[in-house]
Amino acid sequence: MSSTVSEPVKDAMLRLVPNLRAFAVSLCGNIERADDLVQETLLKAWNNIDGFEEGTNLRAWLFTILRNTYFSDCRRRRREVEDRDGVKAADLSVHPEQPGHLDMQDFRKALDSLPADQREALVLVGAAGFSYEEAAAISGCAVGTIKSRVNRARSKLIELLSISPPHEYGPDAASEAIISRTARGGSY
Amino acid sequence: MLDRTVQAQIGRLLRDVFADVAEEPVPQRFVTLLVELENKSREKPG
Repeated sequence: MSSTVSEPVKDAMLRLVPNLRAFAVSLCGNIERADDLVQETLLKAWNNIDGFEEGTNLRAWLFTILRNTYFSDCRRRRREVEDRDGVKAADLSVHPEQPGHLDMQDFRKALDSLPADQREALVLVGAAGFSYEEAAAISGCAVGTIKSRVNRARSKLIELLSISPPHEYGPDAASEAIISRTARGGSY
Repeated sequence: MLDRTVQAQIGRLLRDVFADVAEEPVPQRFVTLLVELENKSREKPG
């Protein structure tokens, strides 16, 4: 290691911790693991400070380290992640108490059920305030890929949160069809 | 519901969920970590 972390960079890192934690929670879904991710991110950033060009976007650089750490952890812990996805897949639908009115808990649940790459793109652009270009650089993919992930994430959220008219897809439509068939005296 | 209203609602919830954590103070463990790292690099610079 040839350079050390300057005082202003250290202070900036500390100020960015709350943002890193919020991003980490959105990726992994729980605060304990999120804090471990942030810790690992800060350690890596400190030890690889040569890779950071002072004056450029420290926030984007730290977000990049954090998401790379998270996704390589996921590859290592593939089995565990698949278990978690299995649990999520079994409980996909979200039924807001009042259709059209969403509380934060409904929304969190829907957000957690998105594929990780879509959730990441949506959070970077929609919550953390990065541009599509910055989000693409952080995720290591093309700008078009980020845009399409964000669009797919938004559509999926709308679907999950039943913001579109519920009777189109809901179980009621299916049972009504059966009832009306039965009433007509179905031939089976 | 209008598409724009839906988008706005999702946008607001997304920022709320993020802010929920991002507005918490820095936990002490990270203050300690950075102080330790700083002390360590002072002891053996370069």
